[in-house]
Amino acid sequence: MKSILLSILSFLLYTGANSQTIKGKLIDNKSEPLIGATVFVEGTKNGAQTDLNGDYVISNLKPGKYRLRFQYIGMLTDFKNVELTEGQTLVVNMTIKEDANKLDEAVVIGYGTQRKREITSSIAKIGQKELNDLPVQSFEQALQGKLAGVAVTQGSGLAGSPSIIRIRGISSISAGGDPLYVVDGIPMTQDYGTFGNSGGTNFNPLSSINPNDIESIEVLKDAAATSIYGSRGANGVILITTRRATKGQMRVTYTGQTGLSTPTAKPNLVSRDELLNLMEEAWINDGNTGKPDLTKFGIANMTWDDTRKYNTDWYNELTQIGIKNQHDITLSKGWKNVSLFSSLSYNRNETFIKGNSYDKLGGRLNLDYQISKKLKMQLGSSFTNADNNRVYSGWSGGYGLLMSSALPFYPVRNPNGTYFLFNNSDAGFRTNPLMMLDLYKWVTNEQRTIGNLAFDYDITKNLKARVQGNYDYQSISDDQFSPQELNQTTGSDTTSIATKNLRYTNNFNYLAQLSYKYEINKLNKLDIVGGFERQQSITEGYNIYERSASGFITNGEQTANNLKMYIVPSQWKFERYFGRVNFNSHDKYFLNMAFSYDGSSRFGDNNRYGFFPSISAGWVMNEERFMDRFKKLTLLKLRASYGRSGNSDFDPNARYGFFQASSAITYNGQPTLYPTQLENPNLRWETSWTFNAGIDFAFFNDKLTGTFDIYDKRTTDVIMNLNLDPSVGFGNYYDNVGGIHNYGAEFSLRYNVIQKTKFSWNIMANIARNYNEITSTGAYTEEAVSGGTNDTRVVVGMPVGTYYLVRFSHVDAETGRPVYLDKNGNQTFTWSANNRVPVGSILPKAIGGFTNNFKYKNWDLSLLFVYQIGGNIYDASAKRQLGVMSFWNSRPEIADRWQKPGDQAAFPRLTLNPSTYGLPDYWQYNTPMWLYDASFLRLRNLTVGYNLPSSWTKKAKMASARVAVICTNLFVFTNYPGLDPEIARDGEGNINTSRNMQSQGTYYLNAPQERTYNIQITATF
Amino acid sequence: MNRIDSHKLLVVVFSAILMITFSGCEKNLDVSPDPSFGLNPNEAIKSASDMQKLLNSCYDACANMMSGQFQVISDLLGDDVTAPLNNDGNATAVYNRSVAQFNGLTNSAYAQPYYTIYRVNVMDLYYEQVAFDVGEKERLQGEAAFLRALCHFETVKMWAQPAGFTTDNSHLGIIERSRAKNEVMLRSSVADNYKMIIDDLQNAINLLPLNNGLYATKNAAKALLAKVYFTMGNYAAALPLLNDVIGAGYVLSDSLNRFKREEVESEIIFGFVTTNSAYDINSRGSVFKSNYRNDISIPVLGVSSELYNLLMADTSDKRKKFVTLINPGQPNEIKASTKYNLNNFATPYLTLTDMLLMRAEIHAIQSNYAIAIADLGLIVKRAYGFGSAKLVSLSSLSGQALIDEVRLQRRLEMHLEGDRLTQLKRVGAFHTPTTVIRNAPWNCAGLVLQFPASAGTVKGFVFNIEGGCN
Repeated sequence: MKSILLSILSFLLYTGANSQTIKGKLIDNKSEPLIGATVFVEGTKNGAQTDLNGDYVISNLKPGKYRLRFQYIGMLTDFKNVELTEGQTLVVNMTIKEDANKLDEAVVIGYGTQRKREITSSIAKIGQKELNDLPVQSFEQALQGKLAGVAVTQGSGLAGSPSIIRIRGISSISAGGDPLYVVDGIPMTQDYGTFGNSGGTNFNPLSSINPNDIESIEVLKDAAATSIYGSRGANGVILITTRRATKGQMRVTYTGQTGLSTPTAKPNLVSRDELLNLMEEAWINDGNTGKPDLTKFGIANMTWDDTRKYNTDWYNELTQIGIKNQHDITLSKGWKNVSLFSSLSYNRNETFIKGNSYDKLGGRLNLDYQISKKLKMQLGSSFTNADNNRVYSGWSGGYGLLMSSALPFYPVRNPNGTYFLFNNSDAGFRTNPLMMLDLYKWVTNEQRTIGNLAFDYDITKNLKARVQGNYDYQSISDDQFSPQELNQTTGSDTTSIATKNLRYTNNFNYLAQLSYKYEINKLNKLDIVGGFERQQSITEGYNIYERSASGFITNGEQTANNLKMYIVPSQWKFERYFGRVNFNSHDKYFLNMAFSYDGSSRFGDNNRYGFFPSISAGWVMNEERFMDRFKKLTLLKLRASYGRSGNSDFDPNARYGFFQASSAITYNGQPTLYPTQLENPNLRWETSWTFNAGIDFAFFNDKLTGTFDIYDKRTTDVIMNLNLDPSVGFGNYYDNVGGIHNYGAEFSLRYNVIQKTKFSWNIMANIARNYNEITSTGAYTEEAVSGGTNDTRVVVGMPVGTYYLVRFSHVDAETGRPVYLDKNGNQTFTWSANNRVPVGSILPKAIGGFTNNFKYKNWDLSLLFVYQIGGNIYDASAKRQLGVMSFWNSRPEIADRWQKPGDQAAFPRLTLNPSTYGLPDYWQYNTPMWLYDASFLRLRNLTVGYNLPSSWTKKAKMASARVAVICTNLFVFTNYPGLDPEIARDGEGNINTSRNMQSQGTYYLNAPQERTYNIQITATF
Repeated sequence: MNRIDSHKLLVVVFSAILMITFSGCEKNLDVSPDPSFGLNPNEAIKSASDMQKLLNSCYDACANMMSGQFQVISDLLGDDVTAPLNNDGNATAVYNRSVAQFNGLTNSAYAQPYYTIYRVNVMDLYYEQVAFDVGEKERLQGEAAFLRALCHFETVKMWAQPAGFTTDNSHLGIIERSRAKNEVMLRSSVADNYKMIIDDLQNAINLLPLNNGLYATKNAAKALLAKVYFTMGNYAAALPLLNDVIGAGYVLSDSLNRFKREEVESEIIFGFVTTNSAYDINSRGSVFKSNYRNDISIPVLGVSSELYNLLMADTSDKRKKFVTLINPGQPNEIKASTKYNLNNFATPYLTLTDMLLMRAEIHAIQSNYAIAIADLGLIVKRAYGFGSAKLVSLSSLSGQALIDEVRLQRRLEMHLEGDRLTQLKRVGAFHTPTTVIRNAPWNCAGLVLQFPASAGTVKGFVFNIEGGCN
């Protein structure tokens, strides 16, 4: 029908010609005619569309010089200058090239879409193909190295371990530093601290989203892009759009994957005999004689003579080759008025740690229904059921003990068959890891459903309305069972104990929005969006503790045999008015103004609402006449923006003062009433003002394309969970304190090195440099906030996550004692907390990644490298492994130690006494001796794929089929001597503070990442 | 009736929805936490009953603090225990007298008394806003003052050099809190600290009833004030208070099991009670148990050879039952205490035994030997038995020998109860400047605990000097 109309239009235009005319044909680089392309005569109102043959005709032109503009969706806009003489019919044929920059591609921007051409802010996009090119437990892991300025630090190899995502540095201390995640319009529940730091890991709230369901992810980075999310956009916004069906025949795609999991590195520890020699040397160094008394090491249940009886390989006892399986099936079908996308996914992910796996079953149904010509309905729903089979790790035991107090001369079992018990200060629940693995049962189950229902109504041609309701339900049940045998043996209790901790979150979101397109004239247009949004979230739950249990607690009922305590509900409400005006002039000048007026229950009456405006502009400069001489330049677009955004992601109850009445906590059987939290009614938004300027460019017919951005972000009223002087009567208190300054640059590039029919090679690379500085901590000292393990502090003039340590100078050659530096740089044998100074930072100087994609006929090869330049890792476990001898194992580096007067050594004399090192205790050996350069280059992904020839697939009645071998984390180049330079350890204390200030660089007995080898088969029918 | 245009209807519906939703207002954002989970202060404290519950929580917090935490730390600094057998870093630092700003054990302890102090100060805000029965307000005020004094007293003993370290006690003490407010405060002098403690206790004496069940009484306040004066070396002020309390009808128990309240009830002037619960929420003594208990597993702390030998020195001394040997004769032999091999127990705080020993020492110092011997005799008779050689020998003692014997019996009676260090410091400050505590001068810096780093969150806070004891 459309083609007939076009033909008629062309005919009418043609037959109407009675003067000067320009006509011609538009084709693509494959010589195919372009149907419906637009040809404009700049400076006039004349123009035409091409017909079925790609032909166009423009009549009624006066003689003169003209500039023709040729446009077609997905193709590069091209220009040609012509001169038309009296009575002339000029033929102008053009070959239009494909637009590698996809300037007309739709980009999701929050409450709407824009063409990429119209974008005036800093937005990065990743599509479904790039997102699923490597196997990941959670979708955010797949973003690593692919988007400039988006720092993804992978979690450990432990199942369900969360990553840390930071966009353009860190601008928060105790408010969440993570971006806002919005799935199909609903800001999702994203609490990493659901169960605090249990078992050496935090909870990952993102893992319930199936990466295979995602169509695209847009990352909004600057204030112009995020200000429409107002008070929640300061750390960037990640918009997740799930897949929907398009019209056409039914497509069924199956993707199956199986793989093996191994660690990226094995702990490097000394042998049993080497350890015993070290212990003996320390014993003698301390002036002792005879056989070492193991009680002095903290080993009271073994004598020196027993130590040669056993030689246990705890690594082999606790690790395995994990098996991974994933199966995804999707179904997509579009009818006249209805389209349907559905998926089903099953995932069983064993890790390299025995007993540890993550099993997930998920599904999705996305339905689009055109109810009438003007009314459309969109339905989206997903469900996930995931079991995380947990083990202790990191600080809490299990794999962490491999590198600490599981000594090689300890047996797994005593001669009588009972488990050998460790008897040191790390004992108790963290005792013999094999006993824990065998006897302790622990499963964390997550059930989640995210649903949305939207109606779009075209009130008029240009005025559209949308109402949308969303619901995100998350239920997390953490079940643990410790049998009597374990408890009696460790002395923790005399009976079995079961616990059930349940948290469930109901997150409702409601949106009403109007959008209006106003065409001032053909060249000037306005696009206006305004709306209202309300969100409400409540997290409730309880903890049940049951003695003499026979297994997991199967239901949540309170009985005579258990103790059930409800948690303080975490509830917040949020409402906002937002608006945006886009002005498009000549399709090359763009102005965008947006605002959000937000109200939040997190704040008291005096600070309840905040206003977050932004303005931005863009200019497609290469389409100006004066740029015609730069023939090699196919795109030059300038952008600039300035705006305000906020952060209110912290404890919703923080502003309240609380008293708790209790009949469970009593004195002399009488009920109590006690304060639990200090009030701060003046809490307000954390606010960031951000300036951004960017250039998008392309050269050599888009062979080389790229984007460059600079930004400056100043955050004030930074929310800190302050360490209070304990004499106040409370440990912590939320307040708006100080400021943070981030500024930096991002650069991304794509280069099509070879683009032939049979062979192609392209390179994509990006780098981001961010400077970060705390500008103020108000009236407080560096101690105001600590990163969780006492290693990082808030230091004015230094970055967030600054290591604040006593400097180490050298090992004294005469005595073998370590020599430190005091604050003034003078040498001293005494370590004192008063001498701590800034010595490093968790934040890197630069991050990025580069990908090489090769294609040869049906084969393809892809290599993704990710890297980090600068930043520090503080190996908090090294202070015990290479410090005062105790009940910990040691590392081979200890060979470079002082042994006799005159020795120049890296490490001091061995000793059992912290005082020999001038230390108050062995935990305080916090010096830059354990601070390492965190730079690394990692081959994150290597994929070799083969697409079966269509002649084969047709015979099998398949649309396409592909087989691929995918390997992750094959190797890493780094100077870091530990297991893995990429660290996202569990957060302690305040989870936000910990994740902002410490988790990315401070290592403590964490399991390394996985190295996986996978075979993937994809078949589409 | 005309057919309604469905499109127009939809426009109207949309418009209505938008109008409704745009009517958001501040009230929509009010979130009131469920009162069963958390109350704001004005909702929480409305009646005398609420004040009583708040006071109960003061007792609870105070009982937690005295469930072994303070006592074990004190004894780790002293000479009655071994280095921690599990080589725990924090506890070993206390034992080594090298506590720094990041010691988890002592930092946790430091916060404990201030929980009680804050709650007591909150009570101060509501006395005029709540209706009380006759005498009820005075009782509550008295008990609160008693507990605040107790907490300040226990804290200043551990985090400051003792009274007598300087002649006018002008040396730095602790932060004293008398207002429930998040305000910046710095350390006061020890003299000021003790002035506040004494003021609180004198108020308590005036306000408290003679009988108050298991809670603080007038005699408890007197006993504590006597102990405060005794610790300050102000024996003249202590003596009349001791006379009052000792003469108040308390009876020395025959039992030596001071942590079994049912056996020693008659001599308890004030102590923290425990209630048995299936879930152990309200049982006390957990820190004692986790450090000393050895009938389940190897203890964390052993008994020093010196104390062990003293307890075993006299075969007639019944207190030798409180020590035992683990792995006897083996390289890993451990001298251990059996005092805390209990499931649940109360923690005595002020006892007749303590009062008698204080009075005996004061009289011995003041050369009132007969009274001193009489008081001491009661203790010795119970420990060694009527007619024992020890009891007989007392009558021949005088002067320093008698003083030493009182102090020895105090050590044997109250070993591992957190008393020893205080007494050694008092002796060092007021009597024997050469006093050493496990080879370290009584006034060396490391015998005073360091404050947590978080105390330095506010500018101007002065930390203690560290080390110097080894």
